[in-house]
Amino acid sequence: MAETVSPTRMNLLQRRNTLRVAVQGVDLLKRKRDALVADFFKIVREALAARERLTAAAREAYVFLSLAKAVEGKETLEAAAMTDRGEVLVDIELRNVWGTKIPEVGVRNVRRPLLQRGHNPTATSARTIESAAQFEELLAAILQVAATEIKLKKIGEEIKKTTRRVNALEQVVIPRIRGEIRYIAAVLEQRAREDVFRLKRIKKKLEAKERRAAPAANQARAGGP
Amino acid sequence: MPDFDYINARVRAMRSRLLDPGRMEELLGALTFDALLAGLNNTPYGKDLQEALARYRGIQAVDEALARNFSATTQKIRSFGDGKAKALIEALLLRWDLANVRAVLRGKHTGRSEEDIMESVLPAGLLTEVALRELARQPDIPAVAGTLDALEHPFAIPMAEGLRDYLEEHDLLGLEMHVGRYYAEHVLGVARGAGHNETVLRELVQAEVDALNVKTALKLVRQEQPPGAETRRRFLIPGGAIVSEDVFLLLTAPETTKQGWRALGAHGFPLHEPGDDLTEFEKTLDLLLARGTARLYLGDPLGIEIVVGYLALKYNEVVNLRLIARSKMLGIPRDLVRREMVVV
Repeated sequence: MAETVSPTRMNLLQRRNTLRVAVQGVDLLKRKRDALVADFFKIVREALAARERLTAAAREAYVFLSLAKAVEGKETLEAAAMTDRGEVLVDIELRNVWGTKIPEVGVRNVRRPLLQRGHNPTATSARTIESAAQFEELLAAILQVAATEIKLKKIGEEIKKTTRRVNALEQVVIPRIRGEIRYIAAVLEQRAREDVFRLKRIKKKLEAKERRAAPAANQARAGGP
Repeated sequence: MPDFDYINARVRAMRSRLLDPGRMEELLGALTFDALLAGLNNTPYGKDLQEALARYRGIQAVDEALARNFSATTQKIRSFGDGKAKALIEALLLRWDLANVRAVLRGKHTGRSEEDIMESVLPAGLLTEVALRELARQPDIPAVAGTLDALEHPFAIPMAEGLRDYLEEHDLLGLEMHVGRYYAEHVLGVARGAGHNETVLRELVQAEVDALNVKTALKLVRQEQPPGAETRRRFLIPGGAIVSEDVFLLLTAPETTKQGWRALGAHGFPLHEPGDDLTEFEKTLDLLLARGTARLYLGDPLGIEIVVGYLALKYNEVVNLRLIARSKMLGIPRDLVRREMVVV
């Protein structure tokens, strides 16, 4: 509350300084938000394209897997899958956008050659191998979607946070400081007016005193030797 | 002592229960998956389907029903025979055991559960469901080898031979190849001799081994970095009539593959070197083999051909029904399914 602030000149100067910093902060935050929004829309387009690729890859992979299961038999595919274990490595780098750390996920090649998958080439049909390859493509598409959506989420959160900060500064902090400045200024002005009034009164009193003292002095001077 | 005359009489009766093309077309034309289930209920698969529907739903129920029916069929045919005829039929069915033993080995190697392993086996060979469950229940690969030995299964021999290397190097692929090579050796050993039935089985297995070696060679040579000669050599299954070790090594090396294909052509291999689409090549090769095997049904009425031909026709029917079921369940276009269906 403005009334809880000590209405001193020092506080007034301090508040004015704070106000200037807050206004500068709002400006900076708005520019940061604009940069993030521009980045956000660029990534949204990437994310939509990645989603489309994922949907297409999934449709193709599942149809192919179904046909493979039908032709080779579920058992053959299950047995082939039992050897098919591997780790997927991704590179994560942090990019700095206006002080916000945005993760850039780089997907390494997830497609593995036949022998690296642990498949026995004498027991695994080309259809099964192709099906495994299509699911590796699907995995790459999933990682791509995950990478863009992580960025989107992070940037979205940062935009929300920045907007909250801008709103807080514009609608709470700055009006409050302005109120405090107004209050301090008003109190200081009132004090100044009171001082002027008081000084005027003192001056008047002194003048009245002087006026009263002047006839007595004149008499004393007239009634002298 | 029942011989192929008795066995074939029984198998011919079973042949009459295979679905005719009209029935197949009717099932392919079913509008929904439920309509397909209703249609399948009125076929010899109905009983298996009802049992499967009690445990599974959707496509899984159909797969289970078809697998059960096929297992029951092979076990029934196996029960018809005796003596040499039975030995030949069992040699023919051993291919299913090869796939099942591989699945158990992979399951044990990667620490899968008994249920996971049972999901990846089809008890259509000498190993029944009970035997396979017993294998899947074993704690590790040496115990699997011991169980196969206790069951007096032919694969106990290659398992015992390959076990030491596996324990030293932990190389599952090496053990799998050992069993795979023994399979061909064993079946060709059973089919040794000048008898008609032995010749039919031997020629069939030799053609299959040749086809397998050509497929394997193509997979190896199409790798971005084809493996060295030693690695390539370990993937050869000996026993084929056309693909010798020399031809296999020619086929698997990028610089000599043309030479290898010329050698194959000179030996009468029915296909030329394929383009980029290996799946299409394998499909064509499998179709040729399936048609050739199914055509055996029209061969000697007192020979093993009837059994071989019938099993090919039956398995082909199962594959086609699995394709139809998927087309209904997942909405795969009918034309695409028709292209994939094998017509023998």
